[in-house]
Amino acid sequence: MNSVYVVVWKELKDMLRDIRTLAAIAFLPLLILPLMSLTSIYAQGLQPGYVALINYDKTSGSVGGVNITSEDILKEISEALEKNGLHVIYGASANADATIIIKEGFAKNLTSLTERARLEIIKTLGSSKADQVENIVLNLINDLNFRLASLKVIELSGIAGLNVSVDSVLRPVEAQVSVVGVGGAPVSYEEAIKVYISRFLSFSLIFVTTPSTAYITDSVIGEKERKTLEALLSTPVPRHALIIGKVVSTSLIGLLTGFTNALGLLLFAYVPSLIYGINLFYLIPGSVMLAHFIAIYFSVLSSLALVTPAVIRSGSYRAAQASSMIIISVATIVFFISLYVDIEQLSNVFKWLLYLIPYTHASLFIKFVALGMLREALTHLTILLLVIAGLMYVSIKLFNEERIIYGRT
Amino acid sequence: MSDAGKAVLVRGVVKDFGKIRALSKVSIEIDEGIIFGLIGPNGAGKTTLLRILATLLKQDEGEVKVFGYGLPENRVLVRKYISYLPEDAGLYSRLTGWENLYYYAMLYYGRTGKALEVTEIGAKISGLSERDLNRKVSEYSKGMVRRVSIARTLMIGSKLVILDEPTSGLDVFSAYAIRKTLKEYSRNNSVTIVLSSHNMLEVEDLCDVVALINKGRVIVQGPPKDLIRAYNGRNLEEVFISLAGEGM
Repeated sequence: MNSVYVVVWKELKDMLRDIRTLAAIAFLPLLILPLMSLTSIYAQGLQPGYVALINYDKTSGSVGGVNITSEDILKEISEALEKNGLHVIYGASANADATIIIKEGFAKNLTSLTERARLEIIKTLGSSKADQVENIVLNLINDLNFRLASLKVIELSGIAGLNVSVDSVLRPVEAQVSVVGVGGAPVSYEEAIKVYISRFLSFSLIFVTTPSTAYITDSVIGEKERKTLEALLSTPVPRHALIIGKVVSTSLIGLLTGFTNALGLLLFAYVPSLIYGINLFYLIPGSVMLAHFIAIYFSVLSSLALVTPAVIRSGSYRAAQASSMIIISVATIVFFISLYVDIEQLSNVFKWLLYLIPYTHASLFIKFVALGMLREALTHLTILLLVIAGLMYVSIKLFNEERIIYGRT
Repeated sequence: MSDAGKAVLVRGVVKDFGKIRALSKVSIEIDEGIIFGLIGPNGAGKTTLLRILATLLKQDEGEVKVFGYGLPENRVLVRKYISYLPEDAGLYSRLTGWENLYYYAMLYYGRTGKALEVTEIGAKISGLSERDLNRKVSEYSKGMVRRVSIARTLMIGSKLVILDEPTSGLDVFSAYAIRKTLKEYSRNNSVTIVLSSHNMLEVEDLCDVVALINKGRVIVQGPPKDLIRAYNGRNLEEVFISLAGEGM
């Protein structure tokens, strides 16, 4: 332990004094990610959107005792668009992001029992505002469809002398969704949201995996290139102490950078949620936050354990970085999978393949803490530690002075 | 042949790097307490031999012993008796000179009072002021870096000090200061110093025994004055040229 301390002492001094790199890797995401979030929201507001409304209809109609003209529909559309910050132009316009055309006979057909009213949305290619217009108008049409259908059902049932419930006719199937916990006990919608958030937290680990690899590469190959490694290897410091010392010190720096990266990502999501009046952090329980913090550290340690065998066998900084990037990129697939898939429910072959990747256990650890399944959470944390220890053992066994000194640069 | 009193014993050592033979049946003996110089041109095999003695490389053939312990099998033990300064060795640039010394002292003695004591010795050997020792190494000149590196190697009190081109690339004053430090240290501590150099005049002045090495072979070994006399040269350079051939 004494030798490990000595290596950690030097490595931490060396890394912490490299303020510029530390600031770039650790603190920049904390600034950039929330800023990206803010700018993307406000940039949308800054981009003007124009919608041309063209009305070819001169008809009117009546259903269920209600008179309807295309002007009424046009007014509704116009109000909905303007509420979403879009500018409405009456008549054709070459600058419009989208054009909405109300076809001839619209009001008459809308109230008819045999015809359908037609409305056309013409989107300009490449315009993000055009997609927004489409969404707004289609939502409005959905609502209009139901309102008109209700009026028609009431009118027809009156003619037929039947006692009719509008919902029974128009929405004969009613789906009721509820969520139960693992034991079958019902859980609140809020609890369910927490589990979705835990998936997002697992995904956020993807951002903590890479910064630490730059540090371990520098710690091993950087020493070689700065010509400090050879003398160090001739000292009595045990090889395991050297590797463990370098990995531990790098993991502590990686923890800082990983934490700020993950926090940056959370702020990326939190800033818009706050703007829209939802406090996301309120929905994340303390236990899940703690589990996330633990998972960050072990994900950083996992990254280091995964890349160290490749780094110590690399001849140059570039080769070490390239190998590290390949390994980490492949391993981080786990985080994408965990966002959409329940890993434990996968087929055995695929599941056990994923279990070999330490990140899988970090992800499952967070998930089980969020579900309140502590025994399962601790099992995956233990497996994670064992996988890390196994990879470290491989690094120690692969360590070869001659190869490091004479490795092709 | 008795191994007693020998700091280093190298017999018939061969080392290949792929198709290139770096050392070819090299044999040398180094008595305890002397300054031994390995001299030869670039690529002669000096660094390879020193790396084998420093436990960093394994020979392909032959026998290597340091204080009677065979290498590479006893490398963990041998590392306690040696300190090695590679050619152009760097220091940790973000650490101060003092911290560089302390780090190495801790690598040998752990977090003990002895490590601090050894660091103080290193600080004295370096000849740098307290103010300079408390500056980051990134602010040092090349000469200052080498003085701290030499001090770091000597302060440990190892029985065998291995120095690869210790004055290479230094100005006259810095090289002179380092030679003076080595001489004084060797005289006062009776340690064995093995150094390599391609500066034959420097080695002639510094070493008790030298081995001339060329193309992976030891051409001749002995005290510089004896070699100069035996081969009718004015200095070691002339001896080397006459033995290795002018064209080499």
